[in-house]
Amino acid sequence: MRTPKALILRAAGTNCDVETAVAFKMVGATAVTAHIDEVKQGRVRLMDHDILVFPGGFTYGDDISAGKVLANELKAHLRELRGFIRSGRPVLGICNGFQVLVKCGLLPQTPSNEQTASLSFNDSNRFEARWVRLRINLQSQSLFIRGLPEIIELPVAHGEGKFVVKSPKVLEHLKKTRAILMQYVNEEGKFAGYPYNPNGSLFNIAAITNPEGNCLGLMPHPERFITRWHHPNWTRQTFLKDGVGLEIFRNAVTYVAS
Amino acid sequence: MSRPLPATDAAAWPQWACAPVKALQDLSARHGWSLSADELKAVQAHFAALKREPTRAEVEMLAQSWSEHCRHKTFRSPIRLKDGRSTRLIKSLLEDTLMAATRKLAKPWCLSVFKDNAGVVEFDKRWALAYKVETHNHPCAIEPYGGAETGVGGVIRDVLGVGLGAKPVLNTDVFCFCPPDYAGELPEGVLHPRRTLTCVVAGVRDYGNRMGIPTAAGAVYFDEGYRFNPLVFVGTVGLMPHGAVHTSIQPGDAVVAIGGRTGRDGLHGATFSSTGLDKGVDSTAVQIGHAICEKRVLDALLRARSAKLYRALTDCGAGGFSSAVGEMAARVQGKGGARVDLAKALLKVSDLEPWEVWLSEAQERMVLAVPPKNLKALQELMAAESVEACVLGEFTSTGRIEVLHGEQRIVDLDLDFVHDGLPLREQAALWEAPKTEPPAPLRLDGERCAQILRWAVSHLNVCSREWIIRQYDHEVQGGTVVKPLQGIQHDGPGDACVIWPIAVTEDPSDYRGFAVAHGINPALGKDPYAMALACVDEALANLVCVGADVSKAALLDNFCWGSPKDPRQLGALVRAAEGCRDAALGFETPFISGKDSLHNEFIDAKGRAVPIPGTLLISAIAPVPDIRRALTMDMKGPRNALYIVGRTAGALGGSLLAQHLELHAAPCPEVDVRAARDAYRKISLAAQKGLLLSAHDLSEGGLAAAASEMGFSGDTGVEIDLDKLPRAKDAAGEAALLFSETPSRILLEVSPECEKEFLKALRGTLCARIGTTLANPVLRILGLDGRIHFEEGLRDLKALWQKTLPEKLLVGLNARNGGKR
Amino acid sequence: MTKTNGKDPAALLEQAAPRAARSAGLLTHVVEVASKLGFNDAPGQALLGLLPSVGVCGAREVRVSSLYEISGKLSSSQIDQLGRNLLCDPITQEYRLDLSASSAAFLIGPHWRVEVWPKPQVTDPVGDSVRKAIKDMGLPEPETVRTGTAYQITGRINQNQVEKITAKLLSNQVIHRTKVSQL
Repeated sequence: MRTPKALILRAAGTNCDVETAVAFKMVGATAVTAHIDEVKQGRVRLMDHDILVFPGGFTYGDDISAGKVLANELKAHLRELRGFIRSGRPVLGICNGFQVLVKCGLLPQTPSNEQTASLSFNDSNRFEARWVRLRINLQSQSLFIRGLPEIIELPVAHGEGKFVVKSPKVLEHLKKTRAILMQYVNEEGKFAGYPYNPNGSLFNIAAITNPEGNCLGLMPHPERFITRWHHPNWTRQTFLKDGVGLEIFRNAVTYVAS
Repeated sequence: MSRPLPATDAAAWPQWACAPVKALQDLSARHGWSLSADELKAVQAHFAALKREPTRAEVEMLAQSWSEHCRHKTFRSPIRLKDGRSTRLIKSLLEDTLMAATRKLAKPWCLSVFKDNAGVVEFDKRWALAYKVETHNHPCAIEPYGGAETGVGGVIRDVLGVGLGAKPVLNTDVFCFCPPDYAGELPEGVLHPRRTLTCVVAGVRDYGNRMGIPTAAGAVYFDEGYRFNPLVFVGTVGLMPHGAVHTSIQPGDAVVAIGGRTGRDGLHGATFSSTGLDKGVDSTAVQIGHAICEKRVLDALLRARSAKLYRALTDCGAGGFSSAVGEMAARVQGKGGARVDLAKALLKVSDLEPWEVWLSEAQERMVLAVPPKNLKALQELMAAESVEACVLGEFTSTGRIEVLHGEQRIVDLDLDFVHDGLPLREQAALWEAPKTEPPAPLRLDGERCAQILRWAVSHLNVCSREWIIRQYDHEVQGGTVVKPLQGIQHDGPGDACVIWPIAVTEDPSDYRGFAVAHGINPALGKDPYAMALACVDEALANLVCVGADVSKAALLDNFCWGSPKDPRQLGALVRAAEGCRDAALGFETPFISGKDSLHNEFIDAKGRAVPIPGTLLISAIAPVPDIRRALTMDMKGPRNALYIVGRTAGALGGSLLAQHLELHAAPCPEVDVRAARDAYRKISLAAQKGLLLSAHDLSEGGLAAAASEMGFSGDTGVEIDLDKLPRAKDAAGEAALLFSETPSRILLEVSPECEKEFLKALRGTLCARIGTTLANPVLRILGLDGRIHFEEGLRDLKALWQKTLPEKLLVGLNARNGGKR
Repeated sequence: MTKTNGKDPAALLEQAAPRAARSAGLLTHVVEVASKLGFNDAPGQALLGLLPSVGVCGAREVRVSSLYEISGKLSSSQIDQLGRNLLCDPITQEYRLDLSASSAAFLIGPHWRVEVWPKPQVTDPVGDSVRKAIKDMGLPEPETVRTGTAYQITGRINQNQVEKITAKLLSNQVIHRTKVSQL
């Protein structure tokens, strides 16, 4: 079995690239971190890689709005990006990467690359870092969630994570295509408002995917829960699970390898 | 050298050779140099001997490098201390206290202390830890958002600029503010503390988060004494390979400036922060940070370090190029020296005077020493990361610092004069021990004690800091394995954070980590010696509580004081420094770096100086040999044993109880350093053996507050029998036992299966089983008569503890001036 | 602090925007971006909650918008393109050029307007990013981009109160210049 190659794309202000690379290495992939300029100049080619990741951070300071400047920069390369997604290879946008995917119109997926949703300022008007509970849509086609339990915990850390849509039709389409992959819930697995929904997202949406399930955008940080010692309650005996975030990376790698 | 140098603005420039001191003092005041008469005379004499006039750039450079901020004159000059009836001479406070202790302890794991931009200790055989804590008080008083941002940016650059550069893995922040609901009058130009706090937090947040460095350890202390002068301490810990700790610069290496461009911003930052605050502030003295610019510099530098493209570097902080190039010039092999041409500097605006380019403190800049053969590769790498770089000149072996601007020579100074020409003057200090009254027995009934507890947990200096902590991305880099907020609901007050730096080592099979904690307690300020001991003790106790190995703890000092020209304040400062020395020696924990910020005082409308409370921050760092054995402070469940380590004494000075009961003459508690040291080491070992479930040190609010916090963080009840508490004779009555803040005490939760081995591990340490954990979340206190003294619901206490700060801050308010994020 | 009570938007703009570059051929435009009605204006809400802390209780509503002052060789239609495709989020925000068009996002009725701009020598990181983004779009890179904030406040409040809000909550005279106007 050959070793899958994950390309982690960074720009000025990307800051979760190293831990994301560590996660990929832990599940047996080769992680290549490249600067966006290297891709633009053709020195690094997307299609030479099996997995593409837009990691977390504050690209270009999140100036104008989160992810906007990088999304604007990527618009000139949308054909290539769409080609990568259409090829069925895993694409992952984490936090800032999710914001970028949404703002350049790749998620929610539309025929015209029109931006139909956004990630807006948290209702609390503050950046917040906290652990959240997420309910996974097990009916989804997503390749990233195989073997995951229905309820998982991951940390979020963002100031602009409120998922909103252009019109109710967009939400309906997301529901119909089983593209809503994760929703914020409370301990009982129910929708429960702030702080369980940390940003006021519409329909408690934390993660969406394309209908084919190979392109995932999520606000929570799976790369921050790759061992049990990342969980805030690992010192309590009752919690002794391995990092569930790692499974998301493992699924991508296994999918490519098989 | 007799070549005349042209003065840049000849019209306003006096003839130095014949100028009376008064005229030079006026000049100094006009230009904001803060040079004393002695210092001006030294400059005058130096140039008289050279038979030429100084240039503006030269005097500006000397003023910056001789400033309190850069040279720490108070800590380096002789002090004559009148202590009670005796008088003694201290040759140099820094050398004789903090550095002396470190020298005496001679720990082999201290790799670089008191000389580089940060202190460096061993992490493991491959990696070293660099830690630096700075203050940015004056800028934060004027423009809290920008001041906090640039403070964070500056301390990150310190760590980037230590040795060959360390990768930052943790930011720390400690604040001293006036209570945010302060209702008194404030003079014009003084910002309300609510705004100062929210904007400082926003600045730390926006810069640290954008840099991708977790801000995961800190403290906030409230006192009205900070209403004119808030204190903002920012720290950064970085990791570097051992081989990057030491550097050497060769003559002929290029002087390369990278990062932000030079503008008029930040002129006179060093001299500005070396004087008291007054109303007129020039907007060039404060700045807004550009985190992404610095992030690019960080990314580029780490690549350049791996490629070994440069031989040394330093950051541009106070004094800008003049300090950075001047310091590096002194490190060049041989006699040292540098020659630069400022016409080659990249500028933000074109109308800068050459001396302004030399002195500008524009942010996000670093200076590198680059072997000429690597210049091309370095410039390509910088361009690839969108970092601007320019070659300013070269390091030399002339022993001089020569600065040109095109054809014009604006500085030609002897390095020795710049670095050693500062005349040191003896300072007078006075110390009188405070008058105290021995503790009297306190007889307070259960209801009164419960009421005091409710007051204490909602007190600003005890209450939850969650509103602040959540705004920091405290888990970026994926290494924060003991988080600042702990417990079943992730909201309990952790004693310290533990970092597992896998984003640097990239090796998740190596479980070594480190912990960082703080000690600060200005309430003990009336006895600064006791305060220093208590601060060191608290910092170490906090480390113990997360399972760190305190036998390898290292300390950083930050003194924030009023004017050292006031002999009483200087006397108090000496006592605090002596306390630090004795604590370091007693605990066998060396100081590795430190900083002082003096002149934190405000001149009120009547011309009176209002100094801040003398404030000492101790920051401590220690390895955690196996992060899988780290501890948190939340109680883990019912039917476990609760032990206390340490003896409770009756001295209530500085405690919340003393404040509540207005016991102004209560003596400050003492620290039994030997006993504490032994206890801490044994607890560390017990933790590493996995014998402990939770640990929490006793600080503000004493036993009652600490037990409440442990209980409500774990949603677990506690029963404590006060009669079991090991205590001194003067600790009489339930209230004293519940609320005494005697240092060196730690509460430990131990499962019944481990009790025997735990007791074995702690043999020889004063330690007693004082209670049990309960399923029902209540705090039940049994009084000295064996009956229930009071019982309080822990969930109610938690609600009180949580609501104080948001209520006083009127949140969710908009902290950023621009209101966009 | 300059004050105008006039209602002529052009005159207002003239005084509002700090002029950085005005050499031949350069035009200066201001793009203003605000939350669409129906999307939460969290900063505005937060500010409203803070007004009582400076003794102002009569305010009814506060809206916060972002200002981008762009000086360069860009045509009006190019500026419009920037507003639409770059500076404003198409889902949650609306924009207007040079205080021109009004929409639900921008108040039409009587209100106070406070503009807060960084002083010319103060670092403006957002301005740098906007310039980069404009270049990425293939448009001529502007000479300068400065970013500011506008506050639209309605309710029973007088000029003194607005100035107090401006000084105590919205700006810092050390680094900002501000302009208060009644519209």
